[in-house]
Amino acid sequence: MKFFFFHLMAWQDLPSDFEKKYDSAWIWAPNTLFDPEKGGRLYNEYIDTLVYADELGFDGVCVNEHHQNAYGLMPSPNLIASILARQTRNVKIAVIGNALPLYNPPTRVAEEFAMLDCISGGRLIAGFVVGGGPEYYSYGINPTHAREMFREAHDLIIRAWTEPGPFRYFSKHYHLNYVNPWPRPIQQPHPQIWIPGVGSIETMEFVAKRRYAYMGIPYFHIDVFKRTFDTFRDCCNREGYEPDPEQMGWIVPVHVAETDEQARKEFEPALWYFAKKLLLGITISPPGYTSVKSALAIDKNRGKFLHSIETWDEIEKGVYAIVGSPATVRDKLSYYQKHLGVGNILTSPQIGTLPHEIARRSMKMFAEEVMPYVRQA
Amino acid sequence: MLDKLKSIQYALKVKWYEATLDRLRVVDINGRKVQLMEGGEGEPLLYLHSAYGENLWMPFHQKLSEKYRVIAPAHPGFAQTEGIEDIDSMEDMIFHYLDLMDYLGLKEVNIAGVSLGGWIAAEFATRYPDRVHRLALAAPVGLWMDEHPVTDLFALLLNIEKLRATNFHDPESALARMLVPDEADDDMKAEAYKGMAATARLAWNPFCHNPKLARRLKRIKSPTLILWGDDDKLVPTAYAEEWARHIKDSRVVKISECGHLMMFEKEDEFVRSLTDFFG
Repeated sequence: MKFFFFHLMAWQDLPSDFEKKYDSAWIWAPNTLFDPEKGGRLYNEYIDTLVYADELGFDGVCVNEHHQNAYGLMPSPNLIASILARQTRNVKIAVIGNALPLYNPPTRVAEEFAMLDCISGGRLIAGFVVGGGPEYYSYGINPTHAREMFREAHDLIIRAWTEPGPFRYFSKHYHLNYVNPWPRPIQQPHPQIWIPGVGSIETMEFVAKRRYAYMGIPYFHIDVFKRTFDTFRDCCNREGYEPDPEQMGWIVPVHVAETDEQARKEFEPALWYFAKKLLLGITISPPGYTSVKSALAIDKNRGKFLHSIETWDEIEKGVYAIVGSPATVRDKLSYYQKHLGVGNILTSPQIGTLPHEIARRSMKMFAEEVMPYVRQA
Repeated sequence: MLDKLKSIQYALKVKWYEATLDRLRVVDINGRKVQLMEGGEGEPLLYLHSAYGENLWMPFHQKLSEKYRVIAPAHPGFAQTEGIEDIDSMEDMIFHYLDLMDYLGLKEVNIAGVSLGGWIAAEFATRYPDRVHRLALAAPVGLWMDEHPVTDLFALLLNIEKLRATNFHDPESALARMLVPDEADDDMKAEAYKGMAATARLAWNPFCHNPKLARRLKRIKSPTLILWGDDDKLVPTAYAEEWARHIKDSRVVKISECGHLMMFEKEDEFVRSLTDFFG
């Protein structure tokens, strides 16, 4: 059982009427709403919080990549990860991930991840993603090529890490006569690979086949997660093996305080800011980004997405977040971790507008009063 | 009232489906399945549809077929036409239509293209000017003017009301509400998604244009009609003159109180403009 601390690095100062004035926190939400001075302070505090997770004994920290949005301020998670590689000692550093079709050539990912692995002494977890729908609007990459580019870029990176260079790599989208990245990663044959997904069968088959780890993307009803991990296990079975629980990760917002009431009081406003403002537009899906079947399925699941939820009761019942006293949180977490059969819990304790001090107090209580219990359970 | 409207809409659609059944075939062109609708007699008229994907036999098809042999293929990725995974650029699309014309034995043909279809028709005519007899371009995309940006149709998909307002002069009309409904059924949603994905293949980046097209347009030899709605909120009407400036033997006709999807909104004027032009 492993615990990861996942930081999204949200912009905390959207105006209170944001969702009335704008239709998205992504792509075209005006960047004049970003104040660079405040942004600088925020980055430093967020990085301190990630470093604190190392001191508290989390197994790892996670960062991810998003562009042109208020939801997550890391267009380059590799920059943050490189600071963490120096400022932390023990944690795994999971970059989940780099959006491969946005890197041309994708050799760049092989290079930067290898740098991170070298600097951190082999602590990198390499995450590969297709990138969210909004990214394709922001970067002008043709969404109808997304899956193809992802697969080709993936193959290139794995070969770059495992085959002696130089070699030639010609695919539909990439034509490189000399692939020969210096440096190479410490971890052999290559760093562990994690792939986050929202439940598309194509992604699960891709992950199962290569024995990578599948991370369930959050903000859906617990039933959606259950179905997702069951399907992933089926995919592994079809490949002829039973997946290790650590091949699966569940991303879930968690908040701990002295009492259930106190925890809810602290966390609820931050969660609604997150759900109603920051998630606005996250599901924008350009044409051809998924198969027709997946597009219709996503359309059907929309009602189970956190952005559409209106009451705290639904949050609790759907397990969109786990919030309460240490006893409540460890009971729920143990129960649902077994229910889902996952070996990694990726908590995201600082969501939305949650103040740094409160986030840090919650993390400390989580590390001291929840983690040891859930590890044993 | 709403129920009544819905039942009328439903009856209309059933009528279109029925009309389509008699005129539809799926043929194999160089290993690619292609859906074709064909109706009427006379000079062949190749109709290249818009990104909307008008691949049912609709009243404007019918009216045109009273004078011409209308041939209306679905582009790859639309309706039952396959092979979009091999279409990465306009170049691939032009080869597709070259194959289709050879398959149908069309040596020199009249072509009418709307919006995306107009762009394809114009690109075809720059490469194979001898294969085009007369050319009608109805509100084509394909050119770009910074001062008159084409509305981002890929962003409109999120907002049905905006989508309707951008495509029609009168978005509140029963016709507009039927063609772009607030709540589409799964089949319609799937078909629309597929069509937009096929459009994105050609029009995502560069967005809805080919930077090299303008200076190639002088290669078009055929008399060319440039047809535009005077209230086109998707592809601004200002583009009409821009196309005319580049194509030697061209004339501009504008349809009043008409949005982008003129073959629906101003069906009679659309058909009359084409028959006046093609003769």
